[in-house]
Amino acid sequence: MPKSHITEAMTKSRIREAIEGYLFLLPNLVGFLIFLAIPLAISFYYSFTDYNLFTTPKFLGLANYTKALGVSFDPQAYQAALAQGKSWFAAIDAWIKPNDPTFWVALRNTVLYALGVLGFSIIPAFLLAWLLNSRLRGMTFYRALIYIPVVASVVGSALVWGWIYQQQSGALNTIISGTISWLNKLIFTPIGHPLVDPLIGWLVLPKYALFSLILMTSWATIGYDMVIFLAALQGIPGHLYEAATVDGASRWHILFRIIVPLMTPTIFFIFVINTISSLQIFSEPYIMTQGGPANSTLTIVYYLYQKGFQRFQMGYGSSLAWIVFALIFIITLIQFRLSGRWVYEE
Amino acid sequence: MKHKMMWTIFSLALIVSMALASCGGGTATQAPAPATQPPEVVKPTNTSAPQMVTIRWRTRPDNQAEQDVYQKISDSLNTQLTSQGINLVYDPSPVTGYEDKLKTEYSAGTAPDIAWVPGASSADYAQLGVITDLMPLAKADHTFQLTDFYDAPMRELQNSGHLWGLPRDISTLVIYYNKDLFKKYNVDDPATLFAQGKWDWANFQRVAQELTHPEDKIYGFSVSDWWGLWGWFVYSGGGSLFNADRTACGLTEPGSIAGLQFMADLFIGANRVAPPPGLEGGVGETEFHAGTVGMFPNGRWMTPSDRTNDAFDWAVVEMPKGPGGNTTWLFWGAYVINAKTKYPQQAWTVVKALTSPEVQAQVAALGTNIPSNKAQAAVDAFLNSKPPADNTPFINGAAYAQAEIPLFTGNWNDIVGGQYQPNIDKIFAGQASVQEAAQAACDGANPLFKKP
Repeated sequence: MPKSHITEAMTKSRIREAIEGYLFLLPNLVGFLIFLAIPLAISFYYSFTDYNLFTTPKFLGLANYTKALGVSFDPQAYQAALAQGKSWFAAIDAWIKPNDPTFWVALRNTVLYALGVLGFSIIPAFLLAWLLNSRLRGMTFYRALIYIPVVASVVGSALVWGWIYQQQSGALNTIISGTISWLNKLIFTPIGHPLVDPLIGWLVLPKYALFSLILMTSWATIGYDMVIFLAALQGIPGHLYEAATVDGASRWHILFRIIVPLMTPTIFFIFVINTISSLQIFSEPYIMTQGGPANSTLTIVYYLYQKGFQRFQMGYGSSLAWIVFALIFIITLIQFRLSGRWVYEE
Repeated sequence: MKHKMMWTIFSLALIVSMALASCGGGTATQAPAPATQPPEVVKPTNTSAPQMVTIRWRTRPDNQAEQDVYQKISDSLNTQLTSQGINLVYDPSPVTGYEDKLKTEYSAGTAPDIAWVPGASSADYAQLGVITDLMPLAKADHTFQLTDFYDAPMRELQNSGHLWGLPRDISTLVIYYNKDLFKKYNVDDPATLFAQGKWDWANFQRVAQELTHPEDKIYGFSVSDWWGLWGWFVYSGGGSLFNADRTACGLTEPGSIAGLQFMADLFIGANRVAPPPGLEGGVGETEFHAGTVGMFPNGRWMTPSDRTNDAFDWAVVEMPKGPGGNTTWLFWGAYVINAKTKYPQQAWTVVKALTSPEVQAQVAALGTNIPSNKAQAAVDAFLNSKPPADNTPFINGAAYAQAEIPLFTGNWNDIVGGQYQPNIDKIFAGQASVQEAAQAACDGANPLFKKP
C-alpha cells in the first residue's frame, strides 16, 4: 500500500478516535458549561452591574468593587480620637473609613475562622492519626468513630450543636456547671472561695460565638484529616523506624525527625484543602447564628448571600463572590510558593 | 468497521438525548403546575358555564396544624369558587427559607398567583414591581370595603394611592406570663397591676426583679434579640425606629435612647432580670415553656406552643406603659397578587375570600393569629379560642399599636437587619453603650435611605 494511503488512513482513524473521545466527554463538558462556566461568566458580568434580579442590570463599571474594597480617610476623626485619649490603633481605626465596613468585618471573621479551624483540626488530626497508627485491638472502631462527624449532615450537626451550646440547658454548660459544683463542694467552698458558674453564652456573646463555630467545624473536619494522615503514615517505610530505633532515637525524635518531615506533603495538602473550604464557610452561620450576635459570625460568603438573595443586590453580591475567589486564589498561590521551603519532596 | 460506526451512532444518540433531557423545563412566564394539580379544563363556549382558570396560592403556616387548616380552607373555597370558574390550588411552603424561595420564584417568573408576605417586606416586593396594585380592583368592586379591616395594616399597605395587598391576619405583642411562678414567689400579678392602672415600666421592672432567682435559674423576664422585641422598647420610650417620613434612622432620638437604656438595664448589670439575650442559645421562648422565665413578650403565634408545652398556668397581659404611653406592635402579613398573573380578577376574588370573616374565623379558632377583618364573627371566633382565658389584651392592643412598617424609602433587611441589629447586639454584649450603639446604627443606616 502506498505510504500516502497509509498516512491518510491513520489520520482518519485518529480523527475518528478523537471525535469518539470528545463525544464521551460531552456530557461532562455540557454539564460543566451549563452549570459552572456559563453561570460564572454571567456572575462576573453581574459583578459590574447594579442588578436586583427583577429589572435589567445597569452597568456600573468598577463601582461594586470600589464599594467593597475602597476606603476613604478622615483626618479630623483621627485628631478627635487622639484628643479623646484613645490609643493610636483606635485613632488609625477612626482615620480609615471603609466604604463598606461590614465587608471588612466579614472578611476578618472569615480569616480568623479559617485560622482557628486550621489550628484546631490539623494538629489534633495528626496526633490522632499517629496514635491510631497501630495494630492494637479496636483501632478500626476508633477510626470509624472519629470519622462519623465527617459523614453527618451539616444541618443536623448544626442543630445538635445549637442545643449543646444552649446557655441554660445545653450539654456543655451542664457539664461545666456540674464540674464547678463538684469542685466547689470538694475544695473551694470549704476554703471560702467558691468558683462562680460562668454560664457561658456560647452563641449569645460575640466573644464566644465565632470560637463556638470554630470548635464545631473542627469537630466535623478532624475525621477527614485523620484518615488522610493515617494513609500517609502507613506509607512510611518500616525500615526507617527500625533504623532510628537502632540508632537510639526516642519516640519524640522519631516523630519530629522522621515522621513529620516525611508527612509534609500530606500536611501541605490538608493545609491547602482546609484553607480553601474554611474560607468559604456558609452553612454553620446560616443555620446557627445568622451572622450574629453583633456580626461576630458574619462570614464573607454569608454576607454575599445576604446581599444577593435577601437584599436584592445581586450585582454587589456577585462582586463579593469574585473577591472571595481572588482571595482564595492568592492565598493558595502563596501557600504553593512557600511550600518549597518546608515541604520535603523525595 | 460497520460495527464501530453503529456504536458511534448509538453513543451519539444517547448523549444527545441526555443533553436534551437535561435542558427541558417549563416556560419562564407560566407557573409550573404542581404534581397534584388537575389539568386546566377549558370548556367550550357556553353562557352558563364559566371558563375555568387555575389560581395557585401560598401562605406561610407556622406548624402542621395551621398547614392542615389552610389546606382545608383551600379545599372548601375550591368547591365554592368552581361556580365562578376558579380552580383553587394550595401550594404549601415550609417556614424555613419561605421568603428566599418566594423571591427566587418571582425572579424566575414561577411564583404563585397569590402569596403571603410579611408586612415589613411588602414594600420591597411593591418597589420591585412583582406584585399588583389592588386599588383599581378594590374600587371597581362594590361588595368590598377597605374599612372592613383594621386601620393600622391597611394604612401601611397603601402608598401613593396604591393598595398592595390585603392583610391575612394581625398579631399584637403582649406579655405571656407564668402565673404559677408569680404565686410561688409571691409577686404581684401583672393582670392585677394592669387592672389597677399600675402596669407601667417601674412596676414591670420591679416584678421582673422580684421574680429573678439566678441561683435557681429562674428569670423574671427575657427576650430574644429579634427586632420586634427590642423595637418595642424604642417605641415604649417615646422614640421610633425611623423619623416621621421614614427617610432617616430614629434610634438617636431621646425617646429611643430612653427605651433602649431601660432595656439594657434589664439585661446588664447587677440587677439584671436575665442573661443578655441572643437569637439562639440564650434565655428565651424555650425557657419560658420550660417554666423558668416569668414573663416573655411575643405575638399571638406563641399561643399554640403554650397550649402544647406549658405545664403551668399562664396568661397574657398588655405591654406595660412607658414614657411613650401605651405602645405595642401590630405584626401583620398580607396576601399579595403576582404582577404576572394571567387572571388578576379571579385572583382578587380569591384574596377577598381568603380574608373573609368566615375563613379568618377558621384560622382564629386554631389560636395562632388574630383576624384582620373587624367583623364580629371573626372577632368572636378569636375571643373564644382558649386558653388563655382572657384574649382581650390582644384585641385591646390593636387600638394603639404601631403597625409593622414596610419601608418604601429603603430596604428593611439592609437597614434594620444590616445596621440596627448588629449594634443592638453590642448593647446586649456590653460592647457599646446605648448612645454609642444608636449613633453607630444611624451612621450606618442613614446613607441607605432613599431621600425624597
